[in-house]
Amino acid sequence: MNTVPKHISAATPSRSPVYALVGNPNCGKSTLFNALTGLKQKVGNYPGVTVERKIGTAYTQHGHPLTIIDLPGTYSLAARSPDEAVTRDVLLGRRADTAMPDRIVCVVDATNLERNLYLVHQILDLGRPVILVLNMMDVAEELGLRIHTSRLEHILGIPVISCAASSGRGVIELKLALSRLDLPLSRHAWDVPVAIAAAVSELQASLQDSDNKPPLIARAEALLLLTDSDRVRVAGSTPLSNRTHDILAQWEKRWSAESTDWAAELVNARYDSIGRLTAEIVSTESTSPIGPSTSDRIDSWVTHPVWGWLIFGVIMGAMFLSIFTLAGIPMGWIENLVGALSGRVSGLIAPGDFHDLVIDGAIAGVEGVIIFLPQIMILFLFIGLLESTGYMARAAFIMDRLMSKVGLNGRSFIPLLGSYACAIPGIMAARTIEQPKDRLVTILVAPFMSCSARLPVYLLLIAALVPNEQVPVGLKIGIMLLMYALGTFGAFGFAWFFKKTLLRSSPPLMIMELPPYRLPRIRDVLQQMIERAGIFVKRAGTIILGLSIVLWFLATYPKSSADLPQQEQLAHSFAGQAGHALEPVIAPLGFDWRIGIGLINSFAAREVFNSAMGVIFAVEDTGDEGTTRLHLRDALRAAERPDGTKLFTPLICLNLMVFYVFAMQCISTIAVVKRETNSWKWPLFQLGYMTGFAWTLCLIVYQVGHALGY
Amino acid sequence: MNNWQTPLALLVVAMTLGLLLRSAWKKRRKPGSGCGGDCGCPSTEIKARLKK
Repeated sequence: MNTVPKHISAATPSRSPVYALVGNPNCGKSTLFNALTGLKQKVGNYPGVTVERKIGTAYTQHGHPLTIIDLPGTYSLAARSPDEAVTRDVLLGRRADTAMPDRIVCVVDATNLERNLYLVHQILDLGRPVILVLNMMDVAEELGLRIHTSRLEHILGIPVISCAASSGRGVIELKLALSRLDLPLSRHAWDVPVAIAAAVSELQASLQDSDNKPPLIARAEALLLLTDSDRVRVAGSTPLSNRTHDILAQWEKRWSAESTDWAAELVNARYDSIGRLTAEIVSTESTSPIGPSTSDRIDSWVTHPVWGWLIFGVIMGAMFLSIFTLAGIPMGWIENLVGALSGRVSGLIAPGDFHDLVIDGAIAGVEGVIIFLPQIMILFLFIGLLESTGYMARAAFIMDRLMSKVGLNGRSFIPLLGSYACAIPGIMAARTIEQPKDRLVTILVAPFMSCSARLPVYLLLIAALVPNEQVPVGLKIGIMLLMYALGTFGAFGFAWFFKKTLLRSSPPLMIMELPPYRLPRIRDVLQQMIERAGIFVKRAGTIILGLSIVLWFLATYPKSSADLPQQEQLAHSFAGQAGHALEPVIAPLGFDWRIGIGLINSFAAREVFNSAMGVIFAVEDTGDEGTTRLHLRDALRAAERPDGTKLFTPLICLNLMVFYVFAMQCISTIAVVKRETNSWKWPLFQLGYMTGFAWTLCLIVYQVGHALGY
Repeated sequence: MNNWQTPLALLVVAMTLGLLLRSAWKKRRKPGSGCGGDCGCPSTEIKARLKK
């Protein structure tokens, strides 16, 4: 058995070894990563959940730390998209910010061994210590697959662990393997086709001499260069030397003349080797007749051109119905709790500036947002359920037809779906898109999808627009669905426009794996929901609380004469002056300076609109001693313009929602777009076009609505 | 009217503003934490360990 040379293994007592966790998309790497490290990285039953490397620490049975890097899933080292390039670059030691991993844990989906072993085959070429984890063994056994792990271990010469990461089976055995200092190198070898072997040797020598690559990495890179025709993509950020370039060009010319498909020969040779291996280690015990699986039967409905859409609509409808109906009771609890807190604090502190700061600034500001916590939790519960069952990939599938009409494919819909929760992970998920122009288009339109920060704004405005006692819940759901549909179709419309103009390219084909349906792991779904709720509460208790306090100051100072009515005092405050300065721009949309203050504040985070309204209307009411403080929705309904007409008419509420659907109002999103595009040009363009479009559309909606007498 | 309340309120506002600016500045220095650490970006400590 080969043991690890000292220059390769870093598993010494002085430094904890670094393990890379690699495998095909959706094979359970992140679930295993969480089981090993105790972290709570997002997991889901669809490809492309992890698009960045995630790092954590696991501990051996003896308490020694091990650094684990969870890498994005890839089918091959010939990376085709930015997320796959991260995996390739870490494994080939190309990244300046990450040392080459000492050891590699290859995770494979045991139910689909042959395809998963292709990547393992390439990784074994790197000549590094590898542990092979056969994940989802429980599912493989249910399917009647028998994998002879000891035989596989013997053939490959590396540890092979049977595992079911979701239930924790095999995790202890894996930790024992991770803590071994004497991990062997694989003795598995395969034959490069004779016609190509000479080219591989020549390229390897050149990569070693001219590009300063270690021998085995040079061989792996030579094979990659011959497998992928796009050498710029293969080379990534490390351009090839002229010598390597020339050798490659000479061989390609020669093979073209001989009509040799060198890439296909290499891939076929690997699959031949894998085929022989799997024939030796896999047997089927199943006696059941071969026919469509349960997933196939469900898919015949869920991905049906007609029923698929209907099911999609029903799921979205059920989500919004739950948001409006189930959340009512806990919302009442929060309202009562905040009301009681406000009353108690009011009794403790005598009237004065500090009293107003606490009641009208901090409490009113946070209440406007925190009250929607139940809805946020329901939204994330649904998203978690859809992600863990495997429905997300189906939604992308049925959207593919529509997406192809706008020049994108269903793969772009996964980032867009993710943007319903938050545009930031959605934009990052666009790394799974291979074509740079399609990726950029997806990034540019992703913020149109109604994120969870918009939800409190919509809910507040719908509550102000349609009082509970007067209308059926269906109308509220209809308005909410309309807002989500507006955002989605806005995204599609602009994607079509960009693909026809700025970012013209041919429509890509969609090749996407549909994972088998799985019962959702309630623990994971609830954990994800609680985490998102925690983030929401944390934001409310930090940024939103802080901004509410600052806004209270801006809405209170400079103080005018005590004789002036509160609304006049507010108008003369710093915030009032800013709102008035903005008013000429927003007045044609029907918005007044108070709404303007909310719009300005929303650039910090959209939901700050609610807290801004909470602070402004609380400040306005400050002078009315003895009156019970109104709930924010009632305060909006009661708000009037100087001429005595209502400020928040149905048209204004609707127009404000339309503005929030289309305007780019999130600094964090702008920062992430800058990072993802590596330029300020695109985020500034996005800010300009989205906000400009929102303004124009709102102008049309208001002017037409006004002319029609609304 | 409590005269002590105005300076106290202004002090709280100044401190809050300071904390908000500090948080924004720290975020600017760490562009990788675009989502507030929610995306699983490795901590500075782990990054330093990996660079060794």
